[in-house]
Amino acid sequence: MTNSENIIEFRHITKKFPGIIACNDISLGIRKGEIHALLGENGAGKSTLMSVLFGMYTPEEGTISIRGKEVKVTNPRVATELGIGMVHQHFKLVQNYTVLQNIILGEETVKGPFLDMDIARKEVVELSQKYGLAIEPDELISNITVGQQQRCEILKMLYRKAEILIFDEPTAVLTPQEIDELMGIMKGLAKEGHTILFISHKLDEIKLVADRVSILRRGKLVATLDAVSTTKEKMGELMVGKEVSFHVEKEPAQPKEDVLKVENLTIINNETKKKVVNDVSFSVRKGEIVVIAGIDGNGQSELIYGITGLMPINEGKVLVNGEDYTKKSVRERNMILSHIPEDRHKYGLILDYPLSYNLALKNYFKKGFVNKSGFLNFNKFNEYADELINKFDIRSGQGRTTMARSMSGGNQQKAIVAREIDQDSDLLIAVQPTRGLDVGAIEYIHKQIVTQRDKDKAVLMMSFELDEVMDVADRIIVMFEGEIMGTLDPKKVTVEEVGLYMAGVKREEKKV
Amino acid sequence: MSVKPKKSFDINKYTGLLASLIAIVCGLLIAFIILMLTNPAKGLDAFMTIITGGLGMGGFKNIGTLLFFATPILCTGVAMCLAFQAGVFNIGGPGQFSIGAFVAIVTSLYFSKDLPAPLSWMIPVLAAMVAGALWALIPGILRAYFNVNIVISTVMFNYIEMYYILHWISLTCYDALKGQTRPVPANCKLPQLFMPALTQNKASDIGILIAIIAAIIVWVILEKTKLGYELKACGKNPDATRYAGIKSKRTILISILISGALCGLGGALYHLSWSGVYITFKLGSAPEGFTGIAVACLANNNPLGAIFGASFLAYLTVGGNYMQIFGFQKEIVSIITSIIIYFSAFSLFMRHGIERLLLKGKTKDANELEEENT
Repeated sequence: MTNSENIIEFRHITKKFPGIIACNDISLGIRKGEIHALLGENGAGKSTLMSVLFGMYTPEEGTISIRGKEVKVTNPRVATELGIGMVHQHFKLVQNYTVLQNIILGEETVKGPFLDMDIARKEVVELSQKYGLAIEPDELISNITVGQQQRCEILKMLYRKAEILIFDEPTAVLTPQEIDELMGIMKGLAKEGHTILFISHKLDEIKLVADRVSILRRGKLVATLDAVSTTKEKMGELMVGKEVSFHVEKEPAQPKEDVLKVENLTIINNETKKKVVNDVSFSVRKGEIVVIAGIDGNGQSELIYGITGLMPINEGKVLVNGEDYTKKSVRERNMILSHIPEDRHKYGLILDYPLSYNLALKNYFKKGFVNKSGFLNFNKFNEYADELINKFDIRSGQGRTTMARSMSGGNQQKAIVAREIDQDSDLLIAVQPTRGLDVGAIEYIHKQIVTQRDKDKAVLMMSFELDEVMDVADRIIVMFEGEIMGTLDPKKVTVEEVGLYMAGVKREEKKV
Repeated sequence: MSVKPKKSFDINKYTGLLASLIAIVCGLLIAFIILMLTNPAKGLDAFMTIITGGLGMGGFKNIGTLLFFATPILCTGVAMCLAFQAGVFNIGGPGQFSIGAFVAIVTSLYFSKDLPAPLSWMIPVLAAMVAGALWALIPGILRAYFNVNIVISTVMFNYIEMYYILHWISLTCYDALKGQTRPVPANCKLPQLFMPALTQNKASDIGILIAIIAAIIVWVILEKTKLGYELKACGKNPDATRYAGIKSKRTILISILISGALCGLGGALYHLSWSGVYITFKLGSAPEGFTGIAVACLANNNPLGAIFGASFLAYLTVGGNYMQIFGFQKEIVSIITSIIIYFSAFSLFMRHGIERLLLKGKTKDANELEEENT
């Protein structure tokens, strides 16, 4: 069926990748001027569908019509000519160019052989005023915040006269205040007649901003619903195919003695000579979950690296169970702490090692895994891997022999969580343990973390997701520009308040 | 329930081999074209001679020559396999090889020639390995502690060796009449044992056996030991290695030490052979060092694969020695091997292609996958 209102019409789109059908016979109409959300778990096919629209993938079957005309979008340039623009999850900006230079890159205005920036500047400034996209045209990208970079990306699309705007998980990197601003901008754009496609797996945002929502599951379109009248619970259920609980079930914490004690920790960046972590002191006790909140890049990562030994400390002390670990090696620290790292591909896994090798990464040198003359005991490797695979339900194509690279993100993360939790250390450090995972996997990992706490482990977690922070934490530490802005009780503060601490607006009085 | 691992078929092992074979076939095809362009009349004959490796011309005794050529490049090839797997791009093969050769010669001339039988050749061999390792250690230290790019430093060390070695030769073992190193005393040469009988070549010795044993040992280290687990992990992901508490500086030093020692071994085995090889007194790097990279490339960095890679390149070299009969320079073989190396550099690319072909038609519905998994 065709609908004359529809600006985009997907008909029976099928896109296959080796071993998987990413989009399976998807037919969907997008109305002109609406904000249409695409909701789905990781690997549900929402990004693939948008990539097909933007010309980055060619579908095996099916057609796309835009403004009633069937089109073949063979590459992004064609998409741009058709008035389609996309803000990618990872911005595509030249760091050492200015905002203005980035916006006009590829569409430069010229006078003869020379650049004529004045025309472009005028146009960009007009656009930014019209849509409330505050920018500083002459600031370098490397000097501006993530939110500003995103506005720069949006202006890039508008400058190219895009009418159909695709946002790929645009809020993942923003503060609550920035998210509000973005929502406002999106609504404004829709009002001016732009059509917005909005990929997300955050139900709150979809409720807030979208007109309609299409839910994808395992490559298939499950339903297209009115976003305003559908409940969050219903959307969540359709997305994962089962009921999900949004709240982390946990008893009140019963903290005991200190396990981790950080005293006046300072880390200075080698290049900028800036104190990225500035005189930070806190402690984590047995049986509690302390979550470090903050906007990306405010020293949280460095703080964790300082504690785990991956980055040298300039000043201060790290004590675990009363013992000084400031100068100890990573291996020595690994004996007393487990670390679910921020970047699972960089630190957490050796992607070209099989799953069994990866699961043994913290154990391979221990008795049983290796004999006295240095030969590995592969029976033990296999046994141990199978044990963890069963216990933590890690799914992969070929079991323990699967290369980590070919596993899904959720199962890669499960493997790391399994390995680290099984170390049974007194201290568990979990950095963004649910980043990029779908609702089912998030629920699972939260449960594991709470179980560890209930087993009297000390848990230090770091997260950028405020909902997660509020749900999981027994105590919240907010960091801003390398300093602790406050230690908060999640039961006594609101999300907005935490947001103010995160933005550096509010600060707890220093206790004497 | 979890899926039981399948033992029978590991696609990766076969695609690696297939990629190398395709590289070889492509290399030979282009070589054929070059031969035909250079001399259309004799091109086909010359090509057939290379293909049949001179087996047809020299008879069975060419096996001995083949093994003699294979020995040094197997050593350097295995050295490169280990270094590359550990992510240490040791391009210093020629230097480490020549230093090993030189130390083996000098040790036998000045020290071990008066010692009883096994020691007389074993000591020069061991000395060469130590020398090769120490020569490689310097760039290794620069890399581990000062973060100096190892490709650049090892290449620079090849130049340093190139000049220094002539100086050292002139001080110690220069035969002015012939313009080369003095011959190694007969009792310091490698034992021949049953090799001449086996290969029908009276210059054959146990060098190739030592090289093969070295390849097997390195394979065992890489695949079966804790050290190998750490070395390979370091090569695949240095950050994760650090996270796991593995000392990356130590890993870099160990891998370059072993790699240098193997290159030194190659130099010793080559120059303590019965075929009468000398270091000539002129500037230049030992080609065996660079050929090792080609061997490792063909072998997909597998030390056991290197045995076949080295034999294959040696086979071409033997055939190349007959090129002059057809009016070609024997260097034409170098051209062919380089072409094959270029193609094997594409091997990763080819592997992806092969994997795609094999996977075609095996696309599964996501729901089927789900059912299988649950």
